[in-house]
Amino acid sequence: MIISREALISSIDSLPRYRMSHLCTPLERAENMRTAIQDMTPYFVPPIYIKREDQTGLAFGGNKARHMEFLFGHILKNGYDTVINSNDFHSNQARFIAAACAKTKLKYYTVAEDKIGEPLTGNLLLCKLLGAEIHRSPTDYTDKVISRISNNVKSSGGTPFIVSNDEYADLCGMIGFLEAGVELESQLEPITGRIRMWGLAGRSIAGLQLYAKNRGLNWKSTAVMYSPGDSNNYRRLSVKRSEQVAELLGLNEALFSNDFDVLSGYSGPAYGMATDDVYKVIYLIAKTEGVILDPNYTGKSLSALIGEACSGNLEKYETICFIHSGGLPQVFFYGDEFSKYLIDRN
Amino acid sequence: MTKVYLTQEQLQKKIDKFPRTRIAHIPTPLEYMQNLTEYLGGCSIWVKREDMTGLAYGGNKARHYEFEMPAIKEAGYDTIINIMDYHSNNARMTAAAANKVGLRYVLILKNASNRKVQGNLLIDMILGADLHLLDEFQSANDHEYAIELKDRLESEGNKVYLIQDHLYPKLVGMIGFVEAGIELKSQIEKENLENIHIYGVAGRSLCGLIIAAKNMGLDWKFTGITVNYDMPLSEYIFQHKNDIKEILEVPITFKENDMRVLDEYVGEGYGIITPEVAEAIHLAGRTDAIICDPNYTGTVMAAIIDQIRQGKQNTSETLIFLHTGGLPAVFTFADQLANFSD
Repeated sequence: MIISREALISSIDSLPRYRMSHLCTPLERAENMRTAIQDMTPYFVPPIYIKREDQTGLAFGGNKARHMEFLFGHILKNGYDTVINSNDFHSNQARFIAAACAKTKLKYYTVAEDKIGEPLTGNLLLCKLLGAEIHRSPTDYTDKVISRISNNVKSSGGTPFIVSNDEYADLCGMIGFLEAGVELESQLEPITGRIRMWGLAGRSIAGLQLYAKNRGLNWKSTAVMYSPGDSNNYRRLSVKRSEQVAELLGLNEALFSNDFDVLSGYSGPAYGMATDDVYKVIYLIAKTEGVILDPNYTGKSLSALIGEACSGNLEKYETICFIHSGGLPQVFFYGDEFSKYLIDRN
Repeated sequence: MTKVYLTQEQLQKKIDKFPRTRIAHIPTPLEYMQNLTEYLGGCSIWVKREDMTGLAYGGNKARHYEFEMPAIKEAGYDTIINIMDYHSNNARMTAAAANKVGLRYVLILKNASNRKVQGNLLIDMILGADLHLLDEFQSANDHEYAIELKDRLESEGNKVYLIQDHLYPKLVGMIGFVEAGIELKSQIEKENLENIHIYGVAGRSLCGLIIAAKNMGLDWKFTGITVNYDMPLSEYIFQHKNDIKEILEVPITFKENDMRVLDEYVGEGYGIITPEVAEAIHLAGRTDAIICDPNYTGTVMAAIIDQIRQGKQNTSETLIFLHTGGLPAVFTFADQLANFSD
């Protein structure tokens, strides 16, 4: 059964929320890039739009600004005064939590895993500027570091919230992207035919597909794996989260594991490492559209889109909606890699 | 009462007569910096988010190119040459705008050889600018270098637009900010703000806002902060006050004393972050999650903080911080910013 836009919005509006992103984000046509891709392949390349989630305005922008609004509504409502989380060294999420903690005046301890010797730049430098207390830890020791910080906070009378231990925190991304679905439905209204949402294998793309399913829209989704791993695991997690979100918001439909496509051939050797193909497409979109992508996430997503376009795997009558989920600070961590790639290319 | 020369609609019509390509995401938001306001305990501080124009890390200059790029294309040019310093935001944003409209972009960067590829320079490379990195000796003769290059490209059949040899690029920034002034007027009315005092880099953007305010009869006050420009303000901006009046066809333009200029926050030169600027960057970040850059917006923020702390800023005014962008430069100075502690 189809839910009305108004009913869905009012259901979302019933959740605790702290506003901190600039919505709605723009949708831009990328005709220059489409033409450039068309020149690379005999197969027809469909129209491409970019949803500029890098423009949410919270400390360099990105999709997670939407998540934070619901997460911090929840944290504030429950009276926590301190937030603790561990993230990879590259993490955008660590930066968003830092920004949200600054705005809501909560103390934030971020534990950055891996690459302990690397100087602060990119997201981690911004964490520092945003007032986070940074702890560095080898991946195996993270849990110990977190429980030590947590105990210290408690013994000095604080009430810590550990993001990764919280079930609700795990759902906020999908909730935020139900709302992005509302935006996109209006923005894409003039387009006839099927829309294909294209993004990374995370909560955003699953949130959009959940929206489409409940609204009866003709959208399909492709989720691109950004690190080598089991894509079935991603499917299982998305289905589970969608069931919880559906229950929370009174939606009629949750996702089935075959409601969306998952691509796993474009993740490169590891999380945080990109192949030359990724650098090549980052260069292509910058040159044609003046849009910047990062090598960890959005660059991999675009390399998948172009890879599939050149293999003739895109549906002819679909319009692509590429989700630019942000990640802009981490580009500056890869200065050397970009330089090497550009020198080799010349 | 200040005299009203033009209504908002009349002023908008003056802008709408120019050829234009949509590049920027506007209007940019006006945000309340509630936590910084409370922390400093003086006047209310708002920020105009020109860092959110959406063109390759954003910034005020996205507005300029909406007017500059179509003018260049309509005149039949196919190649742009731009001469800038190695750390320039203008260099980066021109690259992005040129890509959007399909113009070839040749970028001559001064004092750029043997620099670490970081910040704006890295983004210039990613944007595929045809880079000429000059050493200090070549930088002293940058214009000759550009002319030689232009001649060579023209002999190969290109039609080359050397930005520094034209007047229009010096005016478009003001045109864009006259429109930003109209935007700001609506936002100020919506938020019911009064006694407006705008702080920004002493430059063309602020002059555009002044033109908007004067023509619409608004009693906004302006403080311009001197940052590290090579050129003195008089040469850079004030000599164009009548050019902009003529091209816009408005009754009144800016004059030197429309803007209070503060020189004392300039520091020792580009690349040297004063302790005040480092503190300002951290304070804006940790209070309201607003990121400033070490050269431009960080200096303005340092001035705002200092003026309020010293009691020189009237507490009954509403202060608007013009955040002009410049975000990639944060990473050029990663080490200095990472080592800051208060």
